[in-house]
Amino acid sequence: MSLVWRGRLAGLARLLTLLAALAAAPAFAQMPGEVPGGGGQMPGGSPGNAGQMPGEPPGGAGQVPGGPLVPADPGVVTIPPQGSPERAAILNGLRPMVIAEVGAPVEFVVGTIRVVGEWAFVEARPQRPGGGEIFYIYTRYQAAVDAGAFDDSVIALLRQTPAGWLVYEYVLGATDVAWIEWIDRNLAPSEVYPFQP
Amino acid sequence: MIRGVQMKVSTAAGRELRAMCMALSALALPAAASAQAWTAPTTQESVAIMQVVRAVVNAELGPPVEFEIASSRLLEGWAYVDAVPKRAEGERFYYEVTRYAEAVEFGRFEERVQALLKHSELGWILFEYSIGGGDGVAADWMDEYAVPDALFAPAP
Repeated sequence: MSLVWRGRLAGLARLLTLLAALAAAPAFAQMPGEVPGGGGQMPGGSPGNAGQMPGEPPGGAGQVPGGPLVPADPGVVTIPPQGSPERAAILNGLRPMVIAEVGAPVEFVVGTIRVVGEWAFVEARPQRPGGGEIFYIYTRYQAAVDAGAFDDSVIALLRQTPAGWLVYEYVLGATDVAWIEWIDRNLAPSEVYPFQP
Repeated sequence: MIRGVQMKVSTAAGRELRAMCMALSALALPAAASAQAWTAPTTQESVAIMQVVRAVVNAELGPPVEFEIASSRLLEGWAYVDAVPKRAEGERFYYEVTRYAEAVEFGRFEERVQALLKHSELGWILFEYSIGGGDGVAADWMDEYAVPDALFAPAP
């Protein structure tokens, strides 16, 4: 093979590599309607943003109805990356709880999301799409808001089951470390929580 | 906050006493009760209400959940629902993977969903709900919010 043809083939190979990389890129791109910035940092990291579009089905991608439970892997903490099916499934499992209490639509600015085995811990601030503020005037939380005893974030513990990610614990507006009492109350490994008291 | 079988600290006896008081007051004041009696929701209202309730029950027990409605009432912008959650024929709830596993195992769980909602410009907003709780759950909600007593009065 001549040097000319070798050069052409090498150029074609580089072009194919570039195209393959471009084709793979959307897999990690933000989901439609997601707030830019990334999220789910480990404690101490700067809070980022995440949130799927309202209307996505609860317990979405990644769930296999009737499938086996994910075996617990105690101690191994993973942070589902923004745009990943696992992260979307967890947030979509949580979203109906918030929507029921504050109305639709809701997206999340995720501060913390941690997965250990079949358990997930989420701390996130709900907002209207585009960053709109949620007004609690119509909700059970208005008295707490008036009293200055309301932190506009949701904290939840979810469990992956054959029926999808189910909400195990949930609190909206807590001003203290609400999940401390969950540690003894549930089967979830302590590593799923942001820190151990 | 989730109001399930584990959430309230009031004693069962206290709840029953309050529930009895509510029932007696409703019987003793028929004129007042009739002035503010609850009404049944229209089909459209019921669909909207149950859509909200279904969302949280799905989130906790896994979809799809249907309901056999035992009671559904409206009064002064409030709605109260008492229903039995159902799966499709031949299916069952796998409570063992839910937060209710222990309550089910020890017989402290009624297959029952109760919910209190309030209507607003945003639609029906969930104020409280209970999965597995019994009679008296609603009495706690009366203490918490300015819900008219008659919403929980016995059916005429």
